[in-house]
Amino acid sequence: MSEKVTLGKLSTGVPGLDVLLGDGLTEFSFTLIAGAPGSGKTTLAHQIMFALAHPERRALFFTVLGEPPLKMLRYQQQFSFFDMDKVGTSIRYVNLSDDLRAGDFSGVLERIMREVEDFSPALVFVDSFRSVVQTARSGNQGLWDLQHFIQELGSRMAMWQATTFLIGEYTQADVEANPIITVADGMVALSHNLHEDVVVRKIRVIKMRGQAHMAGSHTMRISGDGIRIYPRLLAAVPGAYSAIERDPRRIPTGVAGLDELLHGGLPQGHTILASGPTGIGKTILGTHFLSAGAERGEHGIAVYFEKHTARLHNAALIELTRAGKVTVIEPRSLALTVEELLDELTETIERTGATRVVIDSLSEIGLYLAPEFRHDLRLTVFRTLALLAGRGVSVLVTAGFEDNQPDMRFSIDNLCFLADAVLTMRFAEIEGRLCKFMTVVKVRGSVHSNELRAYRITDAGIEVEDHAVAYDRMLTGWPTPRPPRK
Amino acid sequence: MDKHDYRAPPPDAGMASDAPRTAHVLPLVQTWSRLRRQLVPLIGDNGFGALFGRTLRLVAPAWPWLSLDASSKTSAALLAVLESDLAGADAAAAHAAHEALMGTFTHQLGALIGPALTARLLAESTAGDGQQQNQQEHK
Repeated sequence: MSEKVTLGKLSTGVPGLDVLLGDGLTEFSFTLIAGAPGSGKTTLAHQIMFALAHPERRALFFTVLGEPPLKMLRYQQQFSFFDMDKVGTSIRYVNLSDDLRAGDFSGVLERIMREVEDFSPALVFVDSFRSVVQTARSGNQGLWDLQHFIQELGSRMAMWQATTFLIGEYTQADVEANPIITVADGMVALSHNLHEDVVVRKIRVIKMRGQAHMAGSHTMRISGDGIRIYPRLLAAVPGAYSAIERDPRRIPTGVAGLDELLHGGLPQGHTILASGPTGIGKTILGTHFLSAGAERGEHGIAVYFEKHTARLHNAALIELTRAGKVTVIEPRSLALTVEELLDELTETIERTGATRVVIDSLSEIGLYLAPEFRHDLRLTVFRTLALLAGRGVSVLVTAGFEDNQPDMRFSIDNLCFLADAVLTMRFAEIEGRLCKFMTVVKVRGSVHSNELRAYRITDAGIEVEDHAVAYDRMLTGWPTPRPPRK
Repeated sequence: MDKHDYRAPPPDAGMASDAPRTAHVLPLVQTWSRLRRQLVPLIGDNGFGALFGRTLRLVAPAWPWLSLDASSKTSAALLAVLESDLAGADAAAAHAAHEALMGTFTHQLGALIGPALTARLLAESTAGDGQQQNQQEHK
């Protein structure tokens, strides 16, 4: 049996933060929450405090010269985590501005100790810590006094067995450079830097003693529910590399001829990429895919990035939406983060129980994404498809590209490698007409037809011919009639 | 009560003929003292002073005998001036002015942090009083 001390871990209540910290926050630790104004420090501290505080684990929140307490209460209560019932009983706010103005650090420290002895908190927060530092610099107190103050505070709070947080308006560079901060057991830096006119919030655990925390910057968002952090980690796919499915259940795609090419439909849970040039029928295929699901009682989600006037929205989709069988997600932000998109998808899947998703189209997502995500479209698509695979939903994604025959390509940015199945839809000039044809390029874990089939788009939908095209060199764009076999 | 708490002067501090006039003031000022004790740790002495000063400005037109003394810097000094003003008025007027001040103060605080949190903070202050009163009764 190990005689090493066991570090008690606290679940912070901030989605994603426990993973980042390496399985939660160590009890009795002394953590600095640093970041520029507006980066979410006070919100993070409040969210942790409201999650952890209860009558047997009380919290003291000291405000110094930072955000005035009344304003802090005014704004923080807008978040859903702010539980009014905890204020006063489990959470007490104390303003130290008078003490700091009136006296020196020892006065502040003694006041903190008096309050701690009076309220017996298990959690102590000091906001904003920078105010304390600035007072030291402008006043007669030396740096030594400040260091002494922090060391004293850290050790006294540890002896008191209080998990302590200092909230300070530091930039990441300050935090790393300031030797005073080495006293802290943990450092969490928040940032919201401007990049090509767009801000993406980030959080970084710089250090966390005794724990294998995740390094690097991770995206975070602040919504009405508070902060949510997105560790750079894929969600686990249930049954991955353990369950073998020899005969997957197949679902109809809504186009009979395509089901035939797929040897009975798309394996359930697969992602099929339909790629092709403009006007080839990718959006119509998406609607058929959702209709086929609706006919079987499945709910569908349509994520539409294409924009055009309302009168051009296809009637079949509008009917499905009106009937409550399809939910449309129509992003409007032009600084979209992948996380925002994935959150909305997850929330909609959970709310509607959807089993089919159409994303139309991957080639337009880039127009919506914040620069850092736009620059790596493949990673964005990869993360989106990984999330959907983990959820077990069947997905049809479309990707458009300029036809550049005879270049035989199946998607943009190598996206075809990310899909389980690929359907390519192309044009070819035949007898003075621009004709359409399709072929299934791949279906993971399943046989499929390799025929090139011509199709037409009529009022009845996509009508695929029941035989292979009678031309050779279709993929070059200039086919030649196949000579009769001798 | 801590050392910062406002303490009303003992009843025999004034002339004997003043005693009936000031008797009505004590419970009113004690209410403010309790409120101050509750709020100063949270919003600081200056915060309480600012909120009380604004309340006075809003209420004073109806009760011209309320002093708008800008020289009072601390919340204790403000409450001392209030006590003196209330003592100078008759019981009914003092009570009405006190009610108006308390209502406006609560309303001002509510506009900042919401009626729910305000009610919570004020209820806590009342609960604290109850405890103290009981302790005194057991003495």
